[in-house]
This record gives sequence, C-alpha cells and structure tokens, in this order.
Amino acid sequence: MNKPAPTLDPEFVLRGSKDAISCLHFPSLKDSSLLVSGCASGEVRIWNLKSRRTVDVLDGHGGKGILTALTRTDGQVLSHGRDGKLNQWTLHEGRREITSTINIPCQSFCKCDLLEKDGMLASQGLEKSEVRVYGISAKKVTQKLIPASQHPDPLGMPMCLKFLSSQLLGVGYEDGSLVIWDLKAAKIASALKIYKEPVMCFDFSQDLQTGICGSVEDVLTSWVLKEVDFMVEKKTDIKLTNPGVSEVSIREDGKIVATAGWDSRLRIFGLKKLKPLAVLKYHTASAHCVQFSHPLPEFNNRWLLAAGSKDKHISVWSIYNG
Amino acid sequence: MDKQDEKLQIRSLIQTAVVSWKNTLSISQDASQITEILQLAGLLLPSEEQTSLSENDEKILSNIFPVCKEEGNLRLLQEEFVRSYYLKFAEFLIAQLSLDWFGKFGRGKAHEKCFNDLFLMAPPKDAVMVLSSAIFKSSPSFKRNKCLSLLEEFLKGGRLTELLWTQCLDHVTEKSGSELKSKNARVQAMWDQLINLLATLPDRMANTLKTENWDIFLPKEYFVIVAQSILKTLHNVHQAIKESKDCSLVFISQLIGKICVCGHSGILLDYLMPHILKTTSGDFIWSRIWVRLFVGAPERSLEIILECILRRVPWYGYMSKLLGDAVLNSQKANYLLTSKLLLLRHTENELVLQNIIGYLAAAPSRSSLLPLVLSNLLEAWSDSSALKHTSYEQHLYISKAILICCAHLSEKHLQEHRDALMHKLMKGMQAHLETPVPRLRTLGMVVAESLTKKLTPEGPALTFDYQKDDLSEHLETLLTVPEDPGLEELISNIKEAHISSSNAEENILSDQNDEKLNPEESQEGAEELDSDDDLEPYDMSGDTKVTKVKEPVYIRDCMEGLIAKDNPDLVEASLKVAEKLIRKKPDNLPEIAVEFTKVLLHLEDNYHTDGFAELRQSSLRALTVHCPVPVTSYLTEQFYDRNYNIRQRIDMLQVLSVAAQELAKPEPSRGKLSPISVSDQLLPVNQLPGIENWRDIVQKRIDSKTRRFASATKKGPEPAANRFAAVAGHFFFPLMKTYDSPMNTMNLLGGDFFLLGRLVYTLGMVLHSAQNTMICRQMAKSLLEFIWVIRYHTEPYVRQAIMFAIAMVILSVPTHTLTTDLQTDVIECQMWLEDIVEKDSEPECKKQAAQTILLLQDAIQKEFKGGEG
Repeated sequence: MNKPAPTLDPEFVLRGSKDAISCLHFPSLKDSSLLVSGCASGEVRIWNLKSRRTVDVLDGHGGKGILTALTRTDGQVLSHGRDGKLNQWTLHEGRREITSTINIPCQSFCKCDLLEKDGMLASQGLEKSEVRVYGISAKKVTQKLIPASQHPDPLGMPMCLKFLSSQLLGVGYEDGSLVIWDLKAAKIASALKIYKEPVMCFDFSQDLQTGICGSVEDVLTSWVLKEVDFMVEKKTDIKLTNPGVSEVSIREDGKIVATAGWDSRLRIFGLKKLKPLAVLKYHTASAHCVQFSHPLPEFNNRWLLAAGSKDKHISVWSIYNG
Repeated sequence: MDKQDEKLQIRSLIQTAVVSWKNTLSISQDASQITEILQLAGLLLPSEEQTSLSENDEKILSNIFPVCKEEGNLRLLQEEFVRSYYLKFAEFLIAQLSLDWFGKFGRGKAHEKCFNDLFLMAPPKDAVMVLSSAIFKSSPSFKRNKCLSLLEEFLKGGRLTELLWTQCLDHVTEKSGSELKSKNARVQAMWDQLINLLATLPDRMANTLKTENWDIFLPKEYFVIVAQSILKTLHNVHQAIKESKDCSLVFISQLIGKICVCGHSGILLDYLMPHILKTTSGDFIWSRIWVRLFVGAPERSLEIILECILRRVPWYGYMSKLLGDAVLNSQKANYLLTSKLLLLRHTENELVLQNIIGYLAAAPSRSSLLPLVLSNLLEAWSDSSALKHTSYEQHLYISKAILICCAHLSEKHLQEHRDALMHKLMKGMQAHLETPVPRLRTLGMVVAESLTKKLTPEGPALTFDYQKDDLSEHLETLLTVPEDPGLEELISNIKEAHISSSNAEENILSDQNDEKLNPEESQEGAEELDSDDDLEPYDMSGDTKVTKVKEPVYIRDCMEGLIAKDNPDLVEASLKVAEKLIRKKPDNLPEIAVEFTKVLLHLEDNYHTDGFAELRQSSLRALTVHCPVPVTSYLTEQFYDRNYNIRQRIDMLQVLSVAAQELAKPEPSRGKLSPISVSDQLLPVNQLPGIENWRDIVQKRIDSKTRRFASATKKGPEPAANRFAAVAGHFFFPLMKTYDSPMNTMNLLGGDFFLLGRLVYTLGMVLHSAQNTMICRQMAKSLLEFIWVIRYHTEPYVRQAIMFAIAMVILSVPTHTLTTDLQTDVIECQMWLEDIVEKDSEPECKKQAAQTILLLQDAIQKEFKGGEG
C-alpha cells in the first residue's frame, strides 16, 4: 500500500475570477482539460487546466450571480443566473454568442441539473416547493413537480436536485427531507427526513446506488436507494468538526467523496463507511463548490479535484490517485 | 349388653392385644408372625372407603376380637384404637426400627408395605407427628432414613391434603355445648402443635440433617406441596359449601398465617396467586373462601399476608375479591391498609401502592376513606421536619402514593376537599423548595405540578423548570389509572409455564442461538466488502473548530478579551485559551494574577458557552497554582466579603480545593532533582577517565560470562519538592477567620448552611493536600476545633461534611499525633460519631459515621501495632 504523501497542498490554484466562485463544472468532453466556473458577479469562466489560464469569459447575466454553469456534449455552455435566465452559449473560435435563452425563475439558490442523454433539465419552479423539468431542445416545461398533496408536511423550497436516472429525480428540500420523484408517474416515490435544517447538497453514485447528503448541520449522511421500490434508507452518518456543507461530490470510481465546507476546508471521506481520510486546507473563506473530474488524459488519467471558494480562488488537487 | 359396657369391653380387649403385640414384636424372630401382627394392626386403621373387610380379614379379626362380629362394632374398635393406642403403637414401632429388626421380615415387598401402611394409611396428623419427631430426635441411621422416606411418601402421596381436610371438618363436628369449651382448647393446642410443625418442617429438617437434607424438605419444594394440598383442600371445601355443608377454614387460615410469619410467604403465594385469580374470576363462593382465609388469619400474621398479596396481585381490580370489605370490618386491616403500609413502610414495588389505593377506591363503601388517606399522605409529605429526617426512598414512596391517590380520587371527593388539599400542598411545596437536596426538590416540583393539574384543571397551570428524566416521566404516568391487564392471558401464561417451562426454555434458547449465529456470519461477509480500509487517512489533527476571532496570544490581551463587551466570540476564545496562557507562566503573571482572578470570578456566562464553568474553574486553578500566595489571600478575603452570590462563593471554595490538590501532587516535568552527573563527581586521581581501570576490565570480563536471571530493578518514583508545603497555611487559616459573623448577604450559621457544608468540605480537602507537611498538625488541630462548634448542626449535609473533615484529619495527620497531641479531640470526635450512628435520622449519615469510626479505629490500631513492633 502506498503511503499517502505527508503534506497536502493543491496541485495548482486558479486565480483571476472577479468574484466569489459559485459553481464549477468539468466538461465531459473527450480529451479536454477544461474547467468551467461561475462567479457571484455573473461571469462564466472557462479555464484550460494544462496552461492554467482563462480561455474564455462569458458575461451574459447582467451582473447577477451565476447559479449553474454546465456544458453539453456538443460544446455548448449553459449558464443559469440569478436574473432568471438560462443562456445557451455557442463558442466558436473566439466568438461567443447566446444562441437561445430559456426563462427559468429563481427563488432560491438551487442549482440546475442536466441529463444530457434524455435532453432533460431540472430546476426550481415558480411556486413554493415546485420543481420543473424542461425539455432542453424544445425549451419548454415538460413537467411540474409539486408536492402539495403528496406529502403530509410542507417541504419548503427545493435546495438541491439531481437526476438519479432517467426515471428518478432526487430533490433536497428546505425542511431537511430528501425526496425521490418518479418522473414517469410524476409522483413522489419515496421521502426521507434526514435533517432538521435544510439539505444543502447531495451527490449520487449510480454504480453503488449510494448517495451522500450534506446540510447546514455538522452531519454528513450517506444513504442507499433500493432498486425495487425506490425507497431511500439511511446508511451511516458522521459528525463534522464544523457545521455547514455547500457541496459534495463523489468520484467516478465510487471510492471517495469530497465536501466543501463553510469553514473553508475540503474534506475527503471513504464513500462506503464515511471514514474520514483527509482535510484539505487552502482557502481562507468558505468553500462554495467542489467537483471531481473524469480521468484526465493530459494529467496521466488522474482524477482532479477542483474547489471554488468565496475567496475567489479555485484550488485544484490530486488525491488518492493510485 | 348396654353400650357403655361394650365400649369398656372393647377397650380392654384392644389393650391386651396391643400389649401382647408389642411383646411379640420385640421378641419374635419369626417374620411371618411379625407380618401377621402388622397386618392386624393395619386392619384396625379406619379406611377411607367404606368397603367392608374381606372374609378372610374378618375371620382373623373376630378370632381376636369376638365382639366385632356385631355390626358397627368394628367401627368402634377402629376409633378406639386410633384414639388411644395408635400413637403409642407407632412410637413403639419406630423405636423398634433397626436394620436387624427390619431385616427379619422386611425383605419382601408385601411385608414392607404392611409396615409402611401403618403410617401412610393412619390418621395423617398422628403419623406426621410421630415421623417428624422421630426424625428430629434421631442421629444418622437406618431408622432415620426409613422415617425420611416414609415422610417423603407421606407428602408425595397427598396425605397432607387429607390432614388439612380432616381439620376443616373436625371443628364443625364438635358441637355439644358443655364439652365445647374444653374441646376447643384441646383442639387449639393440638392445632398449634400441628401448625408449628408444618410451618417449620423445612427449617427443622435442615437443622437436623445439615448437609444431608433431602430435596423434598427444602422450602422451595416443600411449600409448593403444602400450597398444592391447601388448594386441593379448598376445592373440597368449595364442593362442600356448594352442597350447603359446613366447613371450617380456621385451621388453613392459621397455617397460612404461620407460614407467612416464618418467612415463606413468597413460595406459597407465588404458587397460589394464579389459582386465586383464576378461581375468583367468576365464582363468588371462591371469593368468600379466600376472603375468609386471608382476613381470618391471626392478627399478627395479617400484615405479612396482606403485604404478600399486595405485592403479587397484578391489578388493583382483583383486590376486592380477595379482601372483601376487610378494611371496614377489621380494625387491624384498616390500620394496616390506610396507615401503616402507606405511611410507615416503603417498598420499590409500585403494585403495592396501586393495589392498596385502587382497592380503597374500587367500592363506594370504601371510597370515603380515600380523601382521608390522601390528606394523611399530604400531611406527611409536606412536613418539613419529616422531609429532613426521613429517607429519600420513603419520601418517594409517599409521593407516588399521593399521585396514585389523585388518579383514583373521584370528582365529587375532589370538589369537597379541594381547598384543604390545596392548602397542604402549598405548605409542602414550600418545604420542598427550601430543601438543599436536589432530588427532593425535583420530586416536590413534579408532585406539585401534577397535583395542581388534577386539583384545578381550569386554573393557571403550575410549571417548574426542572430537568425531565425517567423518574419524573414515570411519576407522571402514575396519574392515570392502570388498566386491566387481562386475566386470561396471565393465568394461561402461568399455567403453561408450569407445565412446559423446562422444554420451552430450551427451545427458545436454541432458537436464539441459531438466530444469533446466522446474521453475524452474513454481516461479517458484507462488512468485508463494504469497507474503506484500503484508503489510508492523512493526518487530520489540523481540523479544529473554527472561531471567528483571533485567539489572544498574550495574557493581558486574554484578560481584556474576557471583559470585552458585545463580542461573544472574543470572550469565548479568550476563556478557552486562558488556562493555556496562564500555564505558560509569562513573566508578568504575578503582577496581574489578582486582577485576572477578579475578572474570572466576576465573569458571567452571558453567551451560554459550552463548558463555561469548567473552563473558568480550570483557569482560576491555574492562576492559584502559579501564584498561590496573592491569589489565595485574595480569594479567602473575598469569601467573607459582601456582594457575592452563593454560586461565586462556592466557586472560590472549589478553586481553593482543586488548586491545593494540584499543588500537593508532584509536578510532572519540572522541579525534578537532576541526578548528579558523573562529570561533576570527584574522582580519585588514578581513576581519571581515559585511563582504564583494572577493576573495570575485570568487571567487564565477569559480566560477559555471567547470565543474570533477575529482572531489572524498577526505578522508584522521582523525588520532587512539595510545592504545597510552603503555602498551605494561606489556603487554610484565612477561611476560618470570620465564619461566625453574619452579614446581610451571607450567614453561614443560619440559612447558608449549604455554604457552611462546602466550607468544611474544602477545609478537609486542603488539609488532606497538606499531608506530610510540617503545618499539617496545626491545621488539623484548628479544623477539629472549628468543627466542634458546629457538630450538632440540624442539616444532615453539614454533619456529613463534618464527618468528611474528621476522616481527612485521620488520613492526613501522622497517626502518632492522633494518639498524643490530638488525643482529647479525637476521643471526643469518636464519641460524637458513635452518637450519630445511634441516633441520627439520616441513614446516609449513619453509614458515613460508621465508616469514619472504622477508619479511626483502624488508624489507632495500626499505630499501636507499629509501636509494639
């Protein structure tokens, strides 16, 4: 067994964002080493990880903060801002233009999620507790998921959402519940109240059917989705030193999971038992987002970990790579 | 021939026959002759079934007793034999019993049966008396074994039932007026003897047989047999009553009473209770029988019987069936149920309370007693002197009783007595809130809350701020009347358990084992797959709590941080680092120590910091340890100053005692007396380093060829200077300075007795820390003088503190001082302690006093032994 390196420092740090980093995204394009970031002043930056320079800056939200920045397989970039617009950008040899815009209301800070293969985009809706699913090509709302009569207690605003499969959408609500929506039946498949405080973020590994939840509280929880009836079952939880988790990310291989903490630290856990593995200290202000990359060919097929913080820096780490 | 003559004739006939039998039996060597006689005697025993004798037997009998040819004479003959001769004859037989004699004829089964029948078919009361008295008198021998096996067969064969049943009938048949009195006295004497024997048989058996006791005579088995017999007899009684015949239950009632008094009530009633519940469930006659049995028992055994029943009846609804209206009819039962068992006794078993109070409330005729009982209970509960002088368990018991009473009290009674009850409750509440014992206080709050809720449901609710725990929640549940747990299940459970207990248990056990084994295996497998062990964690020590402010690094900053206004984070951070900074011993510590102490002492927990009290105390302790003289003189002075609350004064005492303890411990790292290094030692000229000494060379050679088997000797503890010795006085004497001058804010000899107790505890601890110092003796003397003044304090807390202080004196002062300088004080203390052990009301105090005396005697004894040796 390789002894992990005694010191933990970032591989490198990307500086240059004009404001606090709000979201990060590794484009799933083959052979690219790009990173997309959104910031609180409405700019979307595209970084080249090899040269560690900004490749492009997309500014289309009138100075309102970016909630989500995503890329599609055809190279288009989606950016969702607090101005209530989802812009679709086409980048071509130095040109950057907004090819289309969908109006997506934003009441809360809930990020969108895109399921590329089905062309579905999920986001928060206009009504309280509402979640909408859009057909990305038709640019229309295909489904409105309103829990009103299906859940006994008011759930509050949606705080985070993610497609678990083509059929299932997981949504974390303000009251601390995690709800699994069955999109085919447009019904709640199951619900589990995990916290007293809002669910801030979760990530899900399809291979292991296991998810991790973070909250305002100082507890990180893992859960399992049962394939038969889509019931969510709590597996383990672990207490963190400081409360508040902004984002969690599970690495593709399902071995480790990273959290971005309000205490500016990133934490690494084993996925299966939530065994604490490492604490990454670099940022000086609360960490807002954390993402694992795919194996990057230009980095010897290693997985990189990128984290953005309120201190405007993006730190890039390489940890537990063989 | 007239009747009287006939009787006389029969009597003389039997007499001659018995005498001749005895002669023959003792002399004869002929087995057949002996058997014949035994058979004959057997025929004279009245048989239960009225079968007439076989012709052969009749012939034999009429050969000897020609009279019995006439009808009815046989019966007379048998009665006469049993009444006047059987006892003697049986005793004679047992006296004859020996291996030789028995061997002559007893080889055959039939022969042996002849002999056994003489006991097993005989009137049971005579047989059991003869056999048992023979056993009690005997020494280990064939005779004893034979008697034991006869008695065993007697018990197993159900003869006991016969015995009880005859007693039930016996009393009734005696009727004629003039004879009645003498007969009654005779019967009673016989009964007493019999009951005594039956109730104490296991004990006496154990005394006689010692380690060779038989299983059947162990109380566990014997009393079950007795209980079974009683039950069978009662079934007979029940049958007889149904047929409107007369029966007497006095004997059985007395027997049960006696057994209970002897302390075997548990086994007896454990067996009987399910049957009692079952039989009374639908049948009024049975209910009458049990009532007569329990209530008719002798008065001195009534209490124990009642208590046993109360402990075992699972639901109060059954109580009326077992006791009837005893509480109204019997003075004794009334006293027991409404006063003694509620107010004077106490037990953890709540069923007792539920049963008593439920029983009182169940019938309208009795329910008028309930307000009275509740009033008495409240009276006892609210008495502040009782609160001080009764044990906590007793008080808890009374509190429970009050709550249960409330649950059962009807609306009508409630209306009537509301004001009186309320008045008493208020009085009691005050007494409870004033007590220094926290758990009593909480108890008072819980009871008062629940009671006011019940008494004035529409009035403003009384709520106290106490920590809910299991007890308080449990107490609240007492306010609801328990429901019928369902008799059917209970009885069937018990019955089945009786039948197949062993089998079922085994099955269950094996099942559990199976279940246990399987999941473990499967889980283990899963766990191995499901682990993160292949990933080795990094060092995570840097992952600490984030604070928003910078921690102070200098001690002055820390002090300023503590008094910073409107900056909770800074205050918290400062408090957390304070101890660490003080322990670093910065140069300017002495100059700011007193000021720092002042700041900490006045610091209030405005922001609900976690572990505030501990943090503050450890900082204060650190200050006291590092600057003992200024800080202690400040603290001891402030202790007698005005303008402090009790909490702060307690803090001061606490700090002084923990600091004293820390100072008394050898310092771990510093203060080590460094061993003298080799280079400093003076060496003779010829042993200068560099020049090899011949001794060393030889020693080395020897060492290289020597094998040592001893383990390396352990190093003794490292010597360290006692840091406390120099400053002990500063901790101690100022604290005793002005304890007797009352102030507005503190009166140690008055209401602030709690503080006084803490003061004495603290002095004791400081003294203990000062052991092995020169000043210790002086301190001990002052302490003994100090506590002498307050030793008859009314609060147990203070008395306990004083005893603690005495114990500390004993432990700290060299023992020879106890017997010389302090002798008079010590003797006085001992007398005082003995006084406490005898007279104190608080069991805790008594216990502690006894322990302290032991400690003292031990110390003195050691001293004398040491002196002699």
